[in-house]
Amino acid sequence: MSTPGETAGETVDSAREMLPDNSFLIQYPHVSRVVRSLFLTAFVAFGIGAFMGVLQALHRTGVARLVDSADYYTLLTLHGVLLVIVFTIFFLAGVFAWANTRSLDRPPVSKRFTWFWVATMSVGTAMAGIAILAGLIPSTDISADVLFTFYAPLQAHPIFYIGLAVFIIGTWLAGIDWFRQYLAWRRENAGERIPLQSFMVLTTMLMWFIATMGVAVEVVVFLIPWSLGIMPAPNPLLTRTLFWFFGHPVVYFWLMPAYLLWYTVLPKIAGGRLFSDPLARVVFVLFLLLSTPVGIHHQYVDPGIAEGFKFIAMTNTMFLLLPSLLTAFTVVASIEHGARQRGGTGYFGWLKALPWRDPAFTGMALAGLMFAAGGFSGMINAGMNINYLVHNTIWVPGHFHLTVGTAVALTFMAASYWLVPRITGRKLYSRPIGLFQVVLWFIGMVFMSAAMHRGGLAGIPRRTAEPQYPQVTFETVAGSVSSLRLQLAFGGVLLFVSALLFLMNVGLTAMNNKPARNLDSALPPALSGPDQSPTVLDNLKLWALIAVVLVILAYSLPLYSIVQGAGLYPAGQEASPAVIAPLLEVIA
Amino acid sequence: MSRLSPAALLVVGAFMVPLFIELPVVLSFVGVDLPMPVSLGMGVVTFVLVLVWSEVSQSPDAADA
Amino acid sequence: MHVHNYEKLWLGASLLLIVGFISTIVYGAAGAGITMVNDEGGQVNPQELGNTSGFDDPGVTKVGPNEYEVHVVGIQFAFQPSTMEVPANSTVTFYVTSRDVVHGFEIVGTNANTMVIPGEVSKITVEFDEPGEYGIVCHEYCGAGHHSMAAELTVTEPSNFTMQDDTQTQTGGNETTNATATPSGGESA
Repeated sequence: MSTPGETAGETVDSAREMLPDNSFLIQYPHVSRVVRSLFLTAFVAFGIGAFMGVLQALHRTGVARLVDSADYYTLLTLHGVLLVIVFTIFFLAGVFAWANTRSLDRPPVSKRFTWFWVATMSVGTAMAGIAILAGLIPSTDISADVLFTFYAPLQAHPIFYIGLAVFIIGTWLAGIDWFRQYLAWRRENAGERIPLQSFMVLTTMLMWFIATMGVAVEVVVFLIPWSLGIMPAPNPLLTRTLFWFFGHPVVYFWLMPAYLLWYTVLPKIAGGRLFSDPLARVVFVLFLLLSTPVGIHHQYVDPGIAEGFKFIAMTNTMFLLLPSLLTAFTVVASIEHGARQRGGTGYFGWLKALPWRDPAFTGMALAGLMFAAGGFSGMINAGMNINYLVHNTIWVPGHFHLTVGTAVALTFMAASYWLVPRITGRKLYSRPIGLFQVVLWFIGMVFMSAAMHRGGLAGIPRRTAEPQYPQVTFETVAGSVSSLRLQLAFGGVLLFVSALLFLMNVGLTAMNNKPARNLDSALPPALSGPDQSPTVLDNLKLWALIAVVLVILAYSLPLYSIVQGAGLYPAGQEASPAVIAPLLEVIA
Repeated sequence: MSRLSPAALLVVGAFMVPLFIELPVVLSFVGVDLPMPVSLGMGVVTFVLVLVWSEVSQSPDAADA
Repeated sequence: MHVHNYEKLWLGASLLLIVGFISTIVYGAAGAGITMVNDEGGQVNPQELGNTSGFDDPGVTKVGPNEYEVHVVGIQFAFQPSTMEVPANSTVTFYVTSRDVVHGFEIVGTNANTMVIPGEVSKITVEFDEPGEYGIVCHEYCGAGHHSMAAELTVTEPSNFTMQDDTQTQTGGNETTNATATPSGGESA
């Protein structure tokens, strides 16, 4: 899998000299370089991850089995980690670096610090990636076939956990960088409202600081010492719970940059303005407050957790629907405003006035539409008792391929068509290919995700190389299981073709010698501006404090009762695979 | 003179895909068994009709030309 | 703070939807009686299952006039026992645990579904209304052979059911069968 890279961009070519003085690239050449570097890593990860994805779609449906079924799980680990950790987070770091700089209109405080966190994230990624890939080489003892969730007592090589920890620290440093940039702005702009994009970056990073506490404790306190053989195996239920403490808010960490793009960039592309700045702030505050105290909804069917705790998580989860429902209103209203500015009329006639030829618009609009579908299947998952029907069936990957796999990934791809020319100064290689590519992603995902949801209702499990068992017959509501398999594989192939077209288009853009035109990075002000909202919305300390209190309320009792149950290091837990001789036993 | 641009045709075609994929499921609730290939085939036919409607103009000027 | 009227309407409708969802779940728990997997199962030492009552001899035991217990142990990459038989129209309580890593336990086509975590015991109570063959799959990745981990559950007519290793005979089973085989309080799959 080779991915067309971006040129380093150090040389000032003739194309760049033709850019207007107020373009982002001319004003912030250094930040542009940081963003290019982050995007490059994101796109390489996307290419490899997408290739793993099509291998799995063909393998589990039995259409073509190119690898051994035992190796399927190595590919699945790679698919999960590369796409939802590396692609999403490197890309959003690029978006945030761009958005924070653009909206504060000042560069980060220290260039060296910025490159330091980029390097930290990259080193962590490389370590975890090497550990996973080594699983394909039988002659090494190194492996990390533990999937994205790395549930103990399945064990990975220490380098995998250490890489994860280093990566998370890199993201913290990135957050600190953006806060320093904001504080420097604040010193020069006392009493001003935080610019909207910066507000979104800061609230999202506060949420991330809180959320990653769970996985940091899990990895640093329990899994690294255990994998090194210094400490015994931890309580599997405890580490699961710490994982999901992080594992649900991480989905909002992926989604918030997509929301940032929908709220700030999409209205501009549609020809209009954001409907309401205050409501956008309310939405991001709600995500900061409610993203973390819901993680137990991933553990509805876990033993060892009382029903009451699950019920609290369920209630919080349902209220977490609110900011997304509000977003649906604001985004559609902003797009409609844009369409009417462009001459659209009628109840639905305005839809025709939208810039459907623009891949950035069409991609984001289709992503938003699929997010609505993904949101509804998510409500089923959130329903504590209906969840029994679908828990850990392929319904669940069907759900999150609509959310992170389309709402987030397709928005990122569409935004790339808008953003990459702005950070490279080069003209988009092909708009028609871009349009075809985003529509193909939509069609491929409709095929694949619909088949997954329906397969899940029939009880077909997820995360399985061969979901074909002699003992089991799966009964579908409509159509046959074999037709669902074909549908899934077909959708997967379309998605892979779409991913290749995207990488090709972006790669050729990065090497395009034609200068980009009309590189206006200014975003129009909202119809209802921030001056109409109470200033308490900008009190980040207050919201962070409330968020922490909510997390303590939601998690202290469940964690206490889990530790009371089996203890921190219960007897009789053994690592699998047993590759590394535990140091304790060697000593004893 | 086309009624729909290639981009519009692409988007309209894309929106038809989920409709014809979900049609057999919706019909199964009212007891109608529509095989998936038939449903997708109906989708293709519908798209061709849209294509024809788009490309065959009714305007007299175009007919004369 | 200015909020547009349509926006207020939308906000109200959204809150109504959310409260509606929560109400249906409360009704499911209180009215229809769907209980969640919870902490009732207690804890065990995964290496000492051979000395733990119930898990020392996994399988079906009769505990009441029409009540059965099934102890199941998940190991890489099988369920013990690999076949189980219970009568229809009885109350069956599964106790499931793992000897090694995290597994899953799903009776395909029903809403009997739980995680299986080493050291913890999952307890789920199920009622099968209709005789039939059910597949059981492990739905959580548990290692390189995960895809071969499955078992079989047979629900027989109460009149034909005899305990395999027990002299107790089945009496008093309700002969009428409902339309679908579903676990207690569940929606049909």
